[in-house]
Amino acid sequence: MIAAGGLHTSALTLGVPVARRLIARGVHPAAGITFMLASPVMNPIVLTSTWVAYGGHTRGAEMVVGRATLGLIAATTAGWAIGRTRAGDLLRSRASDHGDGHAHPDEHAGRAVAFAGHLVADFLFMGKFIVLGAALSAFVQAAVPESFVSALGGAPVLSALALMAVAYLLSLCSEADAFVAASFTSFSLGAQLAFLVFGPITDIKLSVLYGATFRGWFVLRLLVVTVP
Amino acid sequence: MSVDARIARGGALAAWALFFVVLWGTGATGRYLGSRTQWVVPFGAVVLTLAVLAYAYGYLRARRSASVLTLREAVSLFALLLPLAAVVLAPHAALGSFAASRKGGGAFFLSMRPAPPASPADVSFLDIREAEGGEDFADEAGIHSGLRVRLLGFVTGSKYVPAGTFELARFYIACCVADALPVGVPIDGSALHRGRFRRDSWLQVTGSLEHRGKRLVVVADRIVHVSEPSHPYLSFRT
Repeated sequence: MIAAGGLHTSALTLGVPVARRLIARGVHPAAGITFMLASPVMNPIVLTSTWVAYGGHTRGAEMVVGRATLGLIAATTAGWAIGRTRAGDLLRSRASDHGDGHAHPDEHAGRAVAFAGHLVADFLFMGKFIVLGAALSAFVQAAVPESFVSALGGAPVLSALALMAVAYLLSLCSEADAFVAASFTSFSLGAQLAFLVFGPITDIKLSVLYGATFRGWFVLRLLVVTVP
Repeated sequence: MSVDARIARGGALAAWALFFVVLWGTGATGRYLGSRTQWVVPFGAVVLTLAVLAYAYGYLRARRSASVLTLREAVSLFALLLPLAAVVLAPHAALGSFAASRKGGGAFFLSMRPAPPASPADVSFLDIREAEGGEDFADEAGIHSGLRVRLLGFVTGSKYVPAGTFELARFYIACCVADALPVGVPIDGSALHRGRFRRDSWLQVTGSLEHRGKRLVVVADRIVHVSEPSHPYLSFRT
């Protein structure tokens, strides 16, 4: 599932409906969660961006290896810790699962129409949560100045936690967050790595999506597993 | 009055497909996305348009009775269309001095080194800031005191510039506007007796570079008010 996540090269949010569909169709929840958490990081575009953002050469390679390794550990740990449950206990039920919500295409209309129906259903369902999450993230970016965070750069543990909080609030795409992480020059590379690993796992947008997709305990358990 | 939910859903989908198509057709993608992610727009335009056509075909073929649009779903669809409404109401909205004050001064440029410009005449905001941080880059790019440059940017109103100067800046984006970072260069307009400009006003400044402490300042010999460019953001040159 990690390899599949790597080939998926999806935006952060696209992994959620894909993982949901996989789990609903019988893939083990642990594997689905691992795929969902691994795909934003374990893909060539993100790793290349990370390498470029840190100036290439040795420094860039170190950050790429660090990000991939920690991302892999976090995804598999979260998948193992949270996925040990039945799909029905993990996923929120949706009206479309019972066939009386979104319209399903006529069964005689062919696979293309059926595919379009599923695509539309997911687009319409997820889209509103992405809009809400993006609006919250934009508000936070406008309300909280970057200088507020920079002041925490000196403390070792606190700086990592601070950047993880920033990653959560900024809700950046994993293909570009390395450039922003590199801008926090007053923070250690370890803290920047925490930013790069934690952000793709959960942020404001993803939290809203997780809340709509999984049961209420999911986000809390994810934070408990990944923050340390 | 009841509304067929499937028509409402199709309408919302069609609105987004139309948005992507218009964005693609007008070339206004640069207002929202960086150069490396602009492929999303044509991709989205094609996929969403095909999805709309397939959905419409499925609707016409469906043998189920119509489902009525509930209030809850109507609110959801409305939320989904809000960004489109925002774009229609404020099509030229762009980040400016307020965002620049929130996002810091682009300190990251000291750690990421872009490719040097093809010629000194192509020097940009990012190149000048990079040259401030490293002599190697400055030598490689041919950036030195006395070099004539031309910059197009907006006035930020930042106070963190050498005395007697004002800051002119552009936002650089990697993926999309969400990760935009401001890059500013101090401008000395005293030779033209021009030192005060309204925040967010767009200027084209021509002048020569001069070292003042750690900063490279543009001593302007020409400052012209211009309208905001159609593509207000720049992408990193890689």
